[in-house]
Amino acid sequence: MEINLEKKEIILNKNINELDKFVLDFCSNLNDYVLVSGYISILFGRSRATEDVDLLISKMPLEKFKEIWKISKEKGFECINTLNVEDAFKMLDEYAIRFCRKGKPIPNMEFKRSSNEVHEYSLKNKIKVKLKDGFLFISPIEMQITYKLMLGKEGNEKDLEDAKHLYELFKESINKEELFTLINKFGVEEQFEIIK
Amino acid sequence: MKIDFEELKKERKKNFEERLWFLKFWAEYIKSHSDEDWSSQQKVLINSQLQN
Repeated sequence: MEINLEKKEIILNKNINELDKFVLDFCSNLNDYVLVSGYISILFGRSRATEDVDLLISKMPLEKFKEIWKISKEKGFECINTLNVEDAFKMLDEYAIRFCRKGKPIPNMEFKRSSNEVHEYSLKNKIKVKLKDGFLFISPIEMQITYKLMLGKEGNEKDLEDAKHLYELFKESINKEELFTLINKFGVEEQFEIIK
Repeated sequence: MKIDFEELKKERKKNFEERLWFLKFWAEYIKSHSDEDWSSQQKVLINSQLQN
């Protein structure tokens, strides 16, 4: 693994698994997106599976969404929530919608439109991960660690473990000042003490 | 059957600490081995979970 977070780039020569294949396939027709949450830990080796992958996408007009919908359909994906593209677009105002391979609900892609400053931060500071078979955009590692610590605040050990995995893996290369600023903003100092 | 909830709580805490220890060990393994090495191990686990 070659990590260059100043250049916002990571080169990962992993043997991709079925979950990575699913994500690469779905994301190959997207531009302005970031992957967030549990899948980031899994991408970098966490030894657990998941039933869904969280994706944030920039705000877009209906026409652009229709294009994504069309290409996804051609590639064998379908939306679990609705078969109507306009209904799906409206749903994005309030909810995430889920895409899966036709007839196979697991794994699925939780497709969510950016709706707050934390989302915008992730999109603006996204990291490009180059794999053998393509590339993916992920949320900054500092934000991922902090976000998982926040989820862990509610007592979810799995989230603290995801944060621990990312912290141990990237502690020599992340921007510590940025990490501590985010930890302070999210009020997760106590959770950081548990995993550091 | 008498259930000692205090003991179960302690056991859970200990188990969590042991998992944190393993995560540190596994992260060190990833950093000190090739991507092909660790990802082949991960692939077996993830593929089997998705196929079941």
